[in-house]
Amino acid sequence: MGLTVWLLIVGAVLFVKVIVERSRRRAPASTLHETPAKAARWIEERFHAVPLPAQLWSFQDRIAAILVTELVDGMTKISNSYWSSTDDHGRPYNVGQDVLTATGLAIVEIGRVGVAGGARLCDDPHDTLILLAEAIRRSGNDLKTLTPDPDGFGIATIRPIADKIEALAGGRAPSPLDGPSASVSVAEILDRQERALYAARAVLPGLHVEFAQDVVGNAIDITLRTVGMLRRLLAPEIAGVATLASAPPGERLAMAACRIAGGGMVEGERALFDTLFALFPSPDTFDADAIHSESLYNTSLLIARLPQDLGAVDRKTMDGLWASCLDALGNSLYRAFRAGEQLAAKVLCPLEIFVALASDQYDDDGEMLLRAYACLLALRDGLVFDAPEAVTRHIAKLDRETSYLEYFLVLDQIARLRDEDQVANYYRVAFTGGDGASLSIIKCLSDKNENDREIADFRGHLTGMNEVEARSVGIMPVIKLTIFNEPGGDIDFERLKAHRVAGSLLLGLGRSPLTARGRIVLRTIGDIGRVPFEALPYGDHEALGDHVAIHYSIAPVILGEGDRSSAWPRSALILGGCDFDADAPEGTAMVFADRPALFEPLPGTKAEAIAIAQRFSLAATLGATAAEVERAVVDRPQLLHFATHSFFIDRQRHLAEGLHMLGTSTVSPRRTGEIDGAIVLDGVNGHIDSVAWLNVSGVIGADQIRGWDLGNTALVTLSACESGLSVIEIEGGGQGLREAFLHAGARCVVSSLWSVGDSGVALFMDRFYAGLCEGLSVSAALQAARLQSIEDVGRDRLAFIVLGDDILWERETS
Amino acid sequence: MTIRIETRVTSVGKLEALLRGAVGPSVELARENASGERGIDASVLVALVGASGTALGVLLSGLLKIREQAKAGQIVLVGSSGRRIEVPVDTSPEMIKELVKRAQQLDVATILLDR
Repeated sequence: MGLTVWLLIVGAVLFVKVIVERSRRRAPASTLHETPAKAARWIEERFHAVPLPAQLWSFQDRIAAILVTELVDGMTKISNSYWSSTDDHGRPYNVGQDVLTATGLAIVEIGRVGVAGGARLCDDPHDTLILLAEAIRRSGNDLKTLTPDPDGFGIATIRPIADKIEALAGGRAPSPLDGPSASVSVAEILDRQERALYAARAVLPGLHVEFAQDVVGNAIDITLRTVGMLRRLLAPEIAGVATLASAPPGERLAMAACRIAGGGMVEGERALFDTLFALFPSPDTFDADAIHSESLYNTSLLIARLPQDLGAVDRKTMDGLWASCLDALGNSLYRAFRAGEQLAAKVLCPLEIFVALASDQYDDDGEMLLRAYACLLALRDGLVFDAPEAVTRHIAKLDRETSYLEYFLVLDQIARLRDEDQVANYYRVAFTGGDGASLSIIKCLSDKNENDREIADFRGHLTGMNEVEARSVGIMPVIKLTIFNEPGGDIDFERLKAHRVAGSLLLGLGRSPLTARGRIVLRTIGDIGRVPFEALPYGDHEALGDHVAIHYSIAPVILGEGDRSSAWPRSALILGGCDFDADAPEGTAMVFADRPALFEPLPGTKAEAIAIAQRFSLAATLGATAAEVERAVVDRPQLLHFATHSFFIDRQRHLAEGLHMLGTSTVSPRRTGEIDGAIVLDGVNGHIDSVAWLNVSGVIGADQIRGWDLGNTALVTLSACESGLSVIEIEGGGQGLREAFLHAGARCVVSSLWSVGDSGVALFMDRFYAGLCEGLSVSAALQAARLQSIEDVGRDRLAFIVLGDDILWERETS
Repeated sequence: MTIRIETRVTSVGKLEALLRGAVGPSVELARENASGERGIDASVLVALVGASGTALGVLLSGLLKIREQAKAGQIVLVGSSGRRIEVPVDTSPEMIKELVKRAQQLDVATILLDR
């Protein structure tokens, strides 16, 4: 304790000294940095407030390292008179200001990408990095408005930051299991102390005082180097240290994890483990009453097993494994710190240790995390302790193409365990895959006793198929379903297989009594996205979608589900009753089968638009040209409803399969401006002067929509044919209408997977909006509408799916 | 006799509505392959006419009457052998009888409305 206080005092004195020194040279009042201290605060605030896009979580350390390098450089310069001079107006000036301002701008840009749709722009972390780098480069244009930058230090800071971030896209994502020797620049800059800080933040409230002192001491070291950046972080820990002296023995394990994570493993630190093992000589003598949670108990058991397991490998391997698992611990705690989840930290740490021991190679984060997940499952299953080789065998079977996303799901699931009420009403099914090849399903239930038997039966059923692996984890039954896709495999066959297996799985879920009050969240990548899960048989005449609210997520950040509420729509474009034969501006019509694609009148759409508009006391728009729609969206309506024709040309598939679409030879690789799918509007039938696919009048295509600003739009409903189909141009990404609307900023898109009948859909949509207006979420309102529409709408009730946030409209109480 | 009326200028729905107004009940019109869906529709308008040529005359008159509204620059009769006859833009009511005669000779199977 004394050491802590002493170090703090020293730190504070040094800090004040630096500030006073710098305050003597005042920067121009017009800049952001009236004083160096203010500049530091400005940056500090932004650094901590920056919401890193979810895709970049795996790059967090490296990006932080790049930024901290510049921050340290700026602060070094600003405290050194060598870099001080006067500006053009004769005022005191230091180039460190420019460096700091440039770094701050870069941080702001990271925040912008994170907040303003980074998660929606692309799933791929590497693409997101490139996007971010471009944004940072562009921000250099703003630099001159913030700081004079007479010597060009600011711009010379911005560019390397962007270059370094872009360079990250060139390599693989850093694995939490990268050993300490890996060339991660963050290790060079922040070294162990940074990790110690994160670790401390995650577990300090439950730590022993002596250890806490050590961690805090490390953190103070960083404090001196990064000027007050950590003061705010440390304050609560320091306050909590005094209460830790009586921490129970179980907590000491977490302490050990923290210590190792913070310091990195060195030879002498193993003694700490030995000490801890001595506390718990065997699982049998472990006093479960003395610990705070079951997860900690498992932690203890696992750690107690480590020496035994290590005995089976050679020294060199063992060293590597130790180093890896220690680094993994640090990353786990770091993430846990970020997520504010101490429980997650305590659960994940031992898992990753075990994973590090059980596996000797890690291709990428996704694989490692999946392995960790598998270990979690196996551990909770009781598979691990008595048969470690069985776990290894399980791990060997895991799909290597699993993406990062599953990890976040894991964290999210664990986090949710803290709120049992929430979990009790929640089903979660997540599908992820690389190359559209793998399909994973995670189901979350609450009452393990109630569901254990069912899950065991279900698991037995599933494991009868060689594509499927299923396990249950305590209160979190988890099922992983992998569909192996061979390169060049028959896509239809894969789809059928996916459908069959997913059908079995979902039907299994459907047997649970929780289904009726549950919700399924699906994440699909690749061709799996076209599988109409809503249409899976459920009983003799009904479908899964009739009984379960199903919602498709576009990114794990959405799976995390923040605020789902949305303000009651006061502005809307509710379009129906278009006149497709109306006179229209000159343009080019579309041609199908060597004749013009003429769109038939849709009387049902007019009635539909009017009925929906009345529910919101708004006016329906009965017919509009493409130009009129473009003008209407400039006002950023909260609701967009298109009851009209739409179409989707699966150009890619027709090409791949060597087919001529509808008997014509007009299918060619997509060119810029060419349309794959579009919403059809007034005047589309007007012109047939050419047989091209370019610049079609009377329609709005995905490319146009992508350029709209729909940041204020909560819901887009595409009450039209095939509006939910899209071309998979990049792994994990679609280029159809629904993706375009989400890209433009809309929170949620309801679209159809096949051609739907005019009159039935009008009826269905009216029921759907009735549910929304009664306070149901979009997925729940769709489910309720389906159930009402079994008889009179038929199969088209199952065509509509919801992608994006599963929003709820809040009616104003006044 | 069944004659397909193919349109490349306006929707089948609109053409049907216009033609019904122009020919009344004397020509039976029907839509084939109408999906009623909110997407690309492959429906075709079909006219049922008798062998006497009266109904065919009414149909051709009706098509000429709605030509402008339907934005049809050309009306082409296509025979079962593939032979084609374009209906002159300035076909007067008096010339319809001659046109029917030629259509019968042609064994017209399709009437094409084009730009």
